[in-house]
Amino acid sequence: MSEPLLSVTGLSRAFGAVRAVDDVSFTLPEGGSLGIVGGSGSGKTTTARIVVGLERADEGEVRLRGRVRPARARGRAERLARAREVQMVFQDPYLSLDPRTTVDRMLRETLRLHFPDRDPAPRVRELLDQVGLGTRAAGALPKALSGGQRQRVAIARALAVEPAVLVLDEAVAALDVSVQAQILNLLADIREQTPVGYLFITHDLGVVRCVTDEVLVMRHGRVVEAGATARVLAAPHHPYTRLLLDSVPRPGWNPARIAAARQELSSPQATPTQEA
Amino acid sequence: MTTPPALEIRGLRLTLPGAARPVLDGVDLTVGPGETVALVGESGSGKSLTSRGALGLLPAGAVTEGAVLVDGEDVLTAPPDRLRALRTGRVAMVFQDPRATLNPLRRIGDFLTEGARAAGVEPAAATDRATGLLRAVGLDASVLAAYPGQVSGGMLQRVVIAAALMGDPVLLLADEPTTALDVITQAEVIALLVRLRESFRTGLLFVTHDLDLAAAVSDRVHVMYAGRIVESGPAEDVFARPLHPYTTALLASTPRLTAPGGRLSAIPGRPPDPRTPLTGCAFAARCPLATDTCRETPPEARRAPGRPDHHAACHHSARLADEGAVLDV
Repeated sequence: MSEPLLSVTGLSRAFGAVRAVDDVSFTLPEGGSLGIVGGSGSGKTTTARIVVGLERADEGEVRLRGRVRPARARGRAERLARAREVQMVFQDPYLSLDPRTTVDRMLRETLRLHFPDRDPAPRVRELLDQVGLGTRAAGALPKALSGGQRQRVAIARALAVEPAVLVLDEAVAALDVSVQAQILNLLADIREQTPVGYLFITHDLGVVRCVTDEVLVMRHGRVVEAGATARVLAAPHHPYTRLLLDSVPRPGWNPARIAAARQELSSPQATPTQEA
Repeated sequence: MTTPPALEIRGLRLTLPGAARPVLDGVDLTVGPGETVALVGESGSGKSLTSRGALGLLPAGAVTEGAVLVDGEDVLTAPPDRLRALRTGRVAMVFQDPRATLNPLRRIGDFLTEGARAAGVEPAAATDRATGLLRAVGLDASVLAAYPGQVSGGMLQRVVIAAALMGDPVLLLADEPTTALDVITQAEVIALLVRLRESFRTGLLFVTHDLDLAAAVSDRVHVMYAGRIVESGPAEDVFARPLHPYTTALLASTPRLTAPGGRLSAIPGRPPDPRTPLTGCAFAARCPLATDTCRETPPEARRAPGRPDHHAACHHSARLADEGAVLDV
C-alpha cells in the first residue's frame, strides 16, 4: 500500500501534571477524512494543534507523506513549505480574520507570499467561486460579512496554498444550523474536487457522521476507540463512546440517566486529574 | 388558575431607531409556573432580544408596543426601582458563557452572595443559602473559596445556575446555557435544570438554536424567524409534525446520527436583511412553497386542524399538515 497522507505516532504532550495528549497514533489516507471527537479536555484540540505545528509534542512524531514534520521550521522557505502542507480553519470566524483587510487583499497576500511568480487575480476569483462567494464579498471587510460568509473566507484562505491536509477545529460549531449545513456541503464538494485530506475536530457526532470516513474517540488524552465512522456510531465498543452517543439530544432523551452514567464511568477508573 | 403565569408576552413589537422594520413583530408567548418553554431560532431572529425583554433589558432607543408581564407585573412600564427589585429577585438569567458571567478575580462565594448581601441579607445567612444551592446543583461548599479559573466550564455553569436561584425566582431565562459545553456536560446541566424546575416550580424560558435540544427538554416550543414567531406548539408535535416550512427546513438541515448520510438539505439564501422592510412572509424568499400570496400578505398564526395548541403562521401549513406531503428543500 502507498504511503498515508498523514501519519501520527505516539504523540504525547503534558501541561504540568495533566497529560493532555497521551500516546495518540492515527493515519489519514490521501484524500481521506478523519474525525476526532471527545468532550472538553479530551485532548482533541491539542492533538490538532500539534499536527499543524502550533503546539509542540513532548514525544512522538507527525509524518506527512512519509516525511517527518520538524517541530520547528528553520528559515523562511521551510516555514512556507510547512504551511503548504497543513492549513487550519478555526472555530470562530469572527476572530480568525484581520478586521482591517478586505477579503480580496487577504487572499492576494497569501497567494503572493506562497506563489510570488503567479498572477493572483484569476486564482482569487477561482477560490471565491469555489467557496461560493461573489465579487461583492471580495471587496468587503470581515465586519460586513455574516458568520457563514466569514467561515467561507477562512476556508478559501486555507485552500489558497493548496494544502495537503486541512485541519478543521470545530469549524462549524459557531454557525447557525442552516448555515452549518451549507458549509458542511461546501466541505464535501471541496473534497470531491481537490485531493485535500481533512482532519475534523468536533464534539458534534452528527457532524462527524456527515463529513468523515473514520473517527477517533478521545478521552483524557487517550484514544479510547477508533474505526470507520459508520461502525463506531452504529455499534460503539467503548462505554465512553456509548455515553457520547447517548448524550445527543433526541426525543425520549433522558439527561438524568446520562449524568448518572458519566459518574459511573469516571468513578471506578481512577482519573482524578481533570474530571469535571 | 389564580397564579399568574411566570411570563406572559402579548403582541410584543420592538422597533429600533432608523430600522426599516420592527426587530420583534407581534411576539406572543406564555411560560406557566414550573413550565419549560423553548424559543428556537437562528442568529438575528430576535430570540435573545425577546428573553432579555422579560428583564426589561432593551437596546437603547427601542420603542415597544404590547406587554411583557412577569408574575403579573408589566416590565415595559415599570419604574426603575421596580425593575431593579424584579431583577434581584423574581427573574434570573443564565447566559451562554459562564466564564464571561463571573469576575475572574473574585472568589465564587463572593459572586454567589453579592446580590443577597446588597439586598440586605446578613453575610452568614447569604453564605448558608449559597451553600444549600450549591448542594442542589451537585457541588460542595469548597467551591465557595475557589476562583472561576480553578473549575471547569460545566462546574462554572452550575455555579451560575445556583446564583440565578439565590433570589428564589419565578422565572429563569436561560439563553443558550449549554452551547459552550460538550454534549455530556450539556446533558448534566439539562438534567439539573429539569430537576430544579420540578423542585422550585420555576418557569423556564429556554433560548436555543438547537431544535433537537429544545424538543428534548421543553413542554412547548416556539420557533422564531426574522422577529416573528412562525410556529408554536407542544414540543413533540413541532418536532415530529412541523407545520411551517422553516421548521421543516431547519430540521432537515440538522446533521443527525439517525439521518441518512451524504449531503444535507441546506436552506438556500440568508435571513432577510433587518435594514429592508418586509412585505408578506419573512421566509418567502427561501421557501420552496412560496407563492405570490406569500410575498404580498404576511400570514397570520393559525391553529392546526385537530391540534388545538399547535399554531403556524404559514399560508401553506395545510399542505404540510397532510402527512403525505414531502417537502423538497
